[in-house]
Amino acid sequence: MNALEQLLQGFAGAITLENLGWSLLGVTLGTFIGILPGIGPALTIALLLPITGYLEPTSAFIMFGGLYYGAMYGSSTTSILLNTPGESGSIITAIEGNMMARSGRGAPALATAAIGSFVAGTIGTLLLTFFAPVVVKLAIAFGPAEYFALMILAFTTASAMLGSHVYKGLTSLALGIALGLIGIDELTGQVRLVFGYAQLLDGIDLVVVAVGLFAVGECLYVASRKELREVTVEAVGGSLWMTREDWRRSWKPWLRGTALGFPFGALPAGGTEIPTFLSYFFEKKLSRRPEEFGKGAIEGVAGPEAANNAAVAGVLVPLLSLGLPTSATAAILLVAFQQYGLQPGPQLFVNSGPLVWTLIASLFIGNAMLLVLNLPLVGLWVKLLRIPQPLLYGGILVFSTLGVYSVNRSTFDLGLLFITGLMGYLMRRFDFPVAPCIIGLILGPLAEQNLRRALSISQGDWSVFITHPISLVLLILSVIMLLLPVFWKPRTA
Amino acid sequence: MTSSSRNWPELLLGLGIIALGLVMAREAMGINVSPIYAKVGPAAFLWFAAGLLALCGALVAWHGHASPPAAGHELYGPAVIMAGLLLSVFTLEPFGFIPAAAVLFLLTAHGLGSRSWMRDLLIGVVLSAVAYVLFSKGLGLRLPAGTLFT
Repeated sequence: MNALEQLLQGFAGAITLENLGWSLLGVTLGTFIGILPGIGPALTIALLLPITGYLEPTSAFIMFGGLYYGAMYGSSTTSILLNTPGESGSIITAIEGNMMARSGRGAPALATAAIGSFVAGTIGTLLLTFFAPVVVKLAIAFGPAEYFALMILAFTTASAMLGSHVYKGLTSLALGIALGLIGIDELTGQVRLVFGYAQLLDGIDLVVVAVGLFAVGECLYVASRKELREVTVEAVGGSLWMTREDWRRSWKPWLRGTALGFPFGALPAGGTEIPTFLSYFFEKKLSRRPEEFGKGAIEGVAGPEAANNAAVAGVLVPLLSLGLPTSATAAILLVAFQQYGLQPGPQLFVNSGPLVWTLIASLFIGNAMLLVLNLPLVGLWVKLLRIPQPLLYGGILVFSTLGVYSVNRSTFDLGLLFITGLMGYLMRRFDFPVAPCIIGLILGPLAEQNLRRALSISQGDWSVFITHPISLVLLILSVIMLLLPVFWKPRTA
Repeated sequence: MTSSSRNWPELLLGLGIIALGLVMAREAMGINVSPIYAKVGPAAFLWFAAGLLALCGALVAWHGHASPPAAGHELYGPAVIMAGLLLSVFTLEPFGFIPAAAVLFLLTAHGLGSRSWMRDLLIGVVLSAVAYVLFSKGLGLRLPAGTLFT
């Protein structure tokens, strides 16, 4: 059966009242958290994990997929109307879009962001439909050695491509790997880094780390920086119906942004930030009016906004077909799969085909819902931006405490939340990227497992990683990734 | 280079990261690796993370040693919020979710610059109560009602 037939079956599964409902809930919640500064999809999905234990896996993943897409839409609204990005993928939009809003062109900026996101999301999901099965075919040839090499590549790209210095990304990664080691080693029963606390024997729960690093860390950081607290919400000026001129200037950046965003998301190459920077850079180069950039050029909103949505669709390719997360949100989605006893990768497509295709089909549907939800209803969402920050973060911490406590019903976890929150604050304060830590925490134990399997198959011979061609190529790529930023750095500012 | 041109917080952070690496190395040394797993035993990844932390810590410390001090960060706000979090660890079970969360809300809002104590307390109590009812009655999460008064 080819991808198209399977996709059609997926649509049959997705267009039920119940699944449409989960999709709507996901995209609405996603837009909501995307708009609120300080919380993002990674944190929200982590917080929802304990609750979704009761749900059918299909329903849960339809909701999570919608949430991931929705957060990207919502964050562009925040970036344009507030001078702070809702998510890291919208940093560029926060520059150019906010300039447009200040000069009374907020509505066309929102429109080009939303329509661009829709175009990119649709094309990206289409590419996901056809690429994922291809990758699955490749992945069948993967053994533990190849998976280990792939994880090393994910580690190095996440560390090297995010943040200002490679060593800062690596520090974050090492902290994540260390956190992942806490508890009983599954293979040998050895207790590691427990320091006499029985509560640590089962390891630190992902929810605690995600909430600490994202929610508490961000809250403490905003409290430490006065200028982050003084924000002005721009009015939605202009007409939501873009002029002919706006359309003419937007459609090419949408397509170019998609072409940049999807491969960057799909290759383990650091998620959604880099392609938005590259898209902005290209649009500025290609524009006949480069002098408008920095003062509110519509191309500078259209391109990056398409890029970040296409990247989100791209991230799902290695996640679903290889079980390899390339962003913090994808890492948490991987844990969600594991929670249901599902292992993303070739087996997922074979054993849970209907689930995968229903999920992909519902992403198309969710993307269409988001266009409706974000364009005509934008006035409603803008009201969220007027919640005073002290109350917003107060609420975020109340729900964070609730979520963390309810994982194990233990105040010990709240103590850990305090520590990981402090960690998240220090990482922001000293400009360390947070995503490598989450990826290290989740992939670390898997990398260890695959390393041991590979070596037990080869009877302890380390040369398997070099004699297997795929593994060799992946390891060479990893080395290049680490060295690349030393010699060449994309100028982003 | 005079000491005033150093970024002391970053230098200290680097030393802290090195210390974490040392703690992990000590843990790795305490593990008796059975000869069966001699290739990749339970200590191997510990050593790896320990080494990476020590190396990166050294780079952070060196960067802090060689760069000028960064712009000031306020500490009052974060300190108040952290106090609120620490307080919740000890108050959640004895006092119950609603009062503990309301106090956390109040302190967080204060840490972020709000000075309307009565308004914040009121919103905190209402929000915590709504969350409590919603999650414990609606979704069946068991949240502490408080043991002190029962």
